Amino acid sequence: MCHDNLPLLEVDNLSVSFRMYDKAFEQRDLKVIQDLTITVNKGEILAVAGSSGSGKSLLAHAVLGLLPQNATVGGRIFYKGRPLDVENQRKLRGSEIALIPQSVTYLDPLMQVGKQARGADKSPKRLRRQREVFQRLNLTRQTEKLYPFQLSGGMARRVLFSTAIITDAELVIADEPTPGMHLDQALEALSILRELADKGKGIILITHDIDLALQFADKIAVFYAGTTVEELPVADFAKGPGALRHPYSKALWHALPQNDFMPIEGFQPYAGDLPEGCLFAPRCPLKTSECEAENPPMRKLRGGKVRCVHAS
Amino acid sequence: MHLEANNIYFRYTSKTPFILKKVSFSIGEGERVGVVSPSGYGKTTLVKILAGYEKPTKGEVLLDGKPLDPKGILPVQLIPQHPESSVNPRWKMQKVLEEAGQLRSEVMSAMGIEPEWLDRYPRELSGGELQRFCVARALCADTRFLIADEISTMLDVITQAQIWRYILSEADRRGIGLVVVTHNPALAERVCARIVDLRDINHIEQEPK
Repeated sequence: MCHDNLPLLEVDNLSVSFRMYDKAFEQRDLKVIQDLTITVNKGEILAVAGSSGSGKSLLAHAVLGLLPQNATVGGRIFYKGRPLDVENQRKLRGSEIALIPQSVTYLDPLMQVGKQARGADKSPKRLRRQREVFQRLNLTRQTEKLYPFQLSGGMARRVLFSTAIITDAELVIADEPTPGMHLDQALEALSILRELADKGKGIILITHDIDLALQFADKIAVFYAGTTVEELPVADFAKGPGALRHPYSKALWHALPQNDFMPIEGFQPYAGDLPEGCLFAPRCPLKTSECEAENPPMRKLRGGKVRCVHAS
Repeated sequence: MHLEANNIYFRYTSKTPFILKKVSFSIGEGERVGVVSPSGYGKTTLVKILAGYEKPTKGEVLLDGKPLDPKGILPVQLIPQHPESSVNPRWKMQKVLEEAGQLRSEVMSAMGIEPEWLDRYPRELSGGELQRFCVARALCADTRFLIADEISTMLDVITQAQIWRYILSEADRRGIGLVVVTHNPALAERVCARIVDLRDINHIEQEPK
């Protein structure tokens, strides 16, 4: 059985690659995640922020074993100290580990949403729980009987959100749960996640709404080009660029509309064409020859972790 | 050019309640209008009607005093909220850009579209990557009004700032009117000159779901 001091989820040096066809019958592996390490403890919300296409959703899918067949997964994933293999994933997903998927297309278009939210469990207890959750998310009784196409974007999001928290999962992976929700509803949804965490569950909150995440999360992992570049306590982000460690995290801060709305130049490198050395170097203001030699390892710094030789 | 919606009513069937009731809205050339409200007040329905995707149950949408022309490229272009369900799943991305006449290197580099993506199908791209294509094709040469329905929620903040700066500079250069639906107050303040709250102009009686 599990011990309380073990982290709920440990992802250690995860890598994910896709086998793709190049020309005719030539195949190659496209590495989309490398050296990715995160830890989620009980009672904790880990916010995952970072570039679009940096592998945030892939991380969620790798933990749940939902990657397509042409994917190869390296590294180790532990759930309550035990390796999470294919058999365990099948057993645990939906019961102990729940996903709030990113896209509203995950809803079954031919099933009433109340029924979808309850899932296979037909018990009155589940029905009560579903109504309770719908009510908290401001979805009326009539909504239960609607089909997904009759819902507004924000309502569909709230239904998706409810599907995962109706279960008694120990670990909830929320993949961008709030876009399309109005601010009040997004705050309510995130406070439900906070309550779950306070009851001892673990939450991974993948989000672009950094300002919202700040109010609820305990720590943030910043992703770039398929790897973690910084892990920091949430308070540091609120303090501003001075308290941040990695130049990419600082760039995120400056791009927020409430700060400068000023993007840095350039784009995240394409997975098939990664630079040698530090992945952020081509866009980095601090770049030196040292950065191009090798991708720096994560190191501890001021109560967080950073993957940068210049950070101080 | 001038785009207006006069006394719009909308409901899906005669048995379901009205989603929009007596809604009037107008926007002039080069204007930037934000549309806000809690979800369920009909923001997306209104912009779909403005862009000709839905017909109002009652009322009319006029472009320079004339109804929208169903033939040819409509000068009112909508960038949808969910890119994954608005791109033809059987087309490679190259064809998506070609259709809009936007397969040009300056558009692609401004939007950060990698040449490798052109050879992929929509399901092989992330939501944020796909959204760049939707923005690019909506900014085609004939566009006079651009409607952005929550376009940046799935983008990281750096990409969001990049795309918005590109949209704003194109809108300025070409005198395109912008309708911006957003839940993000900070973004609305940055991008829009005027803000319309649907709670004030949509006359539905009961609290929406």
